[in-house]
Amino acid sequence: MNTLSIVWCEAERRWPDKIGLITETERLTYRELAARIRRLACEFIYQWDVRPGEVVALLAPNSAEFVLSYFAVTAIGGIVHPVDERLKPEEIRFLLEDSGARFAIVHQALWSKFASVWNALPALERVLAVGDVEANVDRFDKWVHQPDAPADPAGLAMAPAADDIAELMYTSGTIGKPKGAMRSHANARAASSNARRAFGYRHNDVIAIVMPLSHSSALVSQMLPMVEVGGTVVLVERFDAADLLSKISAQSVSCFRAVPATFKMLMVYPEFNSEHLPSLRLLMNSSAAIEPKTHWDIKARFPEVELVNSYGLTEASTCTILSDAMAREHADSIGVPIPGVEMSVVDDAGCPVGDGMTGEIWVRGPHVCLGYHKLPAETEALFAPGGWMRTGDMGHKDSQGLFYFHGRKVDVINCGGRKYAPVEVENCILELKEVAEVAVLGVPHPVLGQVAKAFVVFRDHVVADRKAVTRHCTRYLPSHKVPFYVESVDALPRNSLGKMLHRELKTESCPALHKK
Amino acid sequence: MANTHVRVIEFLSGVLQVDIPTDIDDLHRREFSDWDSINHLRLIMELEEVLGVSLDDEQAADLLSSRQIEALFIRHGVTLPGEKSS
Repeated sequence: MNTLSIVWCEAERRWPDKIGLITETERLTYRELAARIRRLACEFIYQWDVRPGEVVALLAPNSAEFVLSYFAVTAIGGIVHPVDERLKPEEIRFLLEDSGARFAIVHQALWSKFASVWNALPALERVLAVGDVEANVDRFDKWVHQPDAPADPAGLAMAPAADDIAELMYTSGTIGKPKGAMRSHANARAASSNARRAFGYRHNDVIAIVMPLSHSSALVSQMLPMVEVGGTVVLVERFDAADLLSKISAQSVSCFRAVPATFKMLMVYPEFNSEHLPSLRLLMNSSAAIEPKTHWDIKARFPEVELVNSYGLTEASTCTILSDAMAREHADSIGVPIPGVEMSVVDDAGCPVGDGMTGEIWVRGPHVCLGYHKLPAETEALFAPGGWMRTGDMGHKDSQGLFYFHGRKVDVINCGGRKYAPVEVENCILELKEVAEVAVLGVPHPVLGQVAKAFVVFRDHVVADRKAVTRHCTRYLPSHKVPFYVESVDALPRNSLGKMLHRELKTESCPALHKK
Repeated sequence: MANTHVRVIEFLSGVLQVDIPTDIDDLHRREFSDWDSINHLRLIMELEEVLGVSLDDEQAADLLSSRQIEALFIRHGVTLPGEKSS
């Protein structure tokens, strides 16, 4: 059976005494992991009566509880809906309402955010708290450590099918509201297999997972394939460069995957090199292109370590791989499709274009999601005839089969690998009564790649308080969406039809941008 | 320098838009989820504006607590509005 349960059951069968998971407080063998997953799955059935196909929201940072919940929910045919811990309460409310979750597992680190919107979620019936929270809800520890839990819960016999939905992974909402990409067990397994082929994970690997497990890359391209090969997963709850370096050293970490901003922050530390960190053998860049200079700066510190780049998206996970050898000749490429992934560059009519010609990148394969939750029109728009998925990314392919990413078809800002639509920030700023108009766009940032810059037209007779705009955004948006720069302008450039000319905003010579 | 301490806490509260009790002795980044790596970069930018200096990468990476920021303020002889220079 091509389901997620096979992954942890096989790891338990083949390597019962191997340490599979290391957190801040625990080291769990695969036998211990499997026992806890079974107990938890059992409680989901007997305490909550979770039925196949029901959504269970998972609000937790990188932790053992996240991994246990993920496998336990999917083991009983439930759909796990991981929620990004960095979201603001209102964003969390939107996601939980959209997914229609009746059940939620909430870690103490996210409890205050969750509690502030709980009353606005009438569909949510049961809550399982992880850690110390003041509420009359079920307790994760009690369920998992219950001594009299059935050893072989009957519910596990109702194993899900490979094509059943296992995960609801929300996109970052680059062109509007986030959408829940539905991934089946088979999709997740295929994505995991792709990652194994691309990165060559080994049984003796120790991977430090720095990216949030709620992110598609961390979940199915790092955690899942590492459990498949019986490696060891070190969960990093929160990124701190010095702390990560000490973990790599203490746990003999052999590989980790991160966004370019993380690598740049690590490069500040002189001890981020092979001499101090001899266990490292593989570094993987994710979510945004790494500049050639940073790539070679890292290679200079880790001459024998493989540094690979990749390209992927929530709906299809990791699709390409750019090895060190390829990067030497084609540093600006996103690489070649992983075996098992089909990719094509097409024109507006959906016809493949010639090498070197720009078009939209399409992907196809068993790793591609089933569509968007409760969004039939968007799902129909996502897929093209022949099972191809439209990525919304523009690029080209060269004569050697390497792909190149040019950007999104629509404007997005990519801040430290996290992508979002400027309109989200614009809508937030427009909530201020002092603001008449606003336009937001991404501007280069040396560490994060891009950050938001807001051009604000304040209403007549009000004091142009740029700091007030930043304060408002900080209060209501997650950190990566808060503008680093706010500029007060008299008017925004528009064409004769009144349409905003975003390109002109990027040029300082734009006559409409007369500063107050 | 008690006044500087209060002002630094207020500065942090302002940049991160969260309520931090001013009687807190020290606030470390690791204990405070809103002070994430992106907000840290924005904080550095705001600090550079207030101090009128450019902080290099090592200095920025070392500013991990309210006390360290306080020391930076004192080192640069900066007084925030409402505080007298000593």
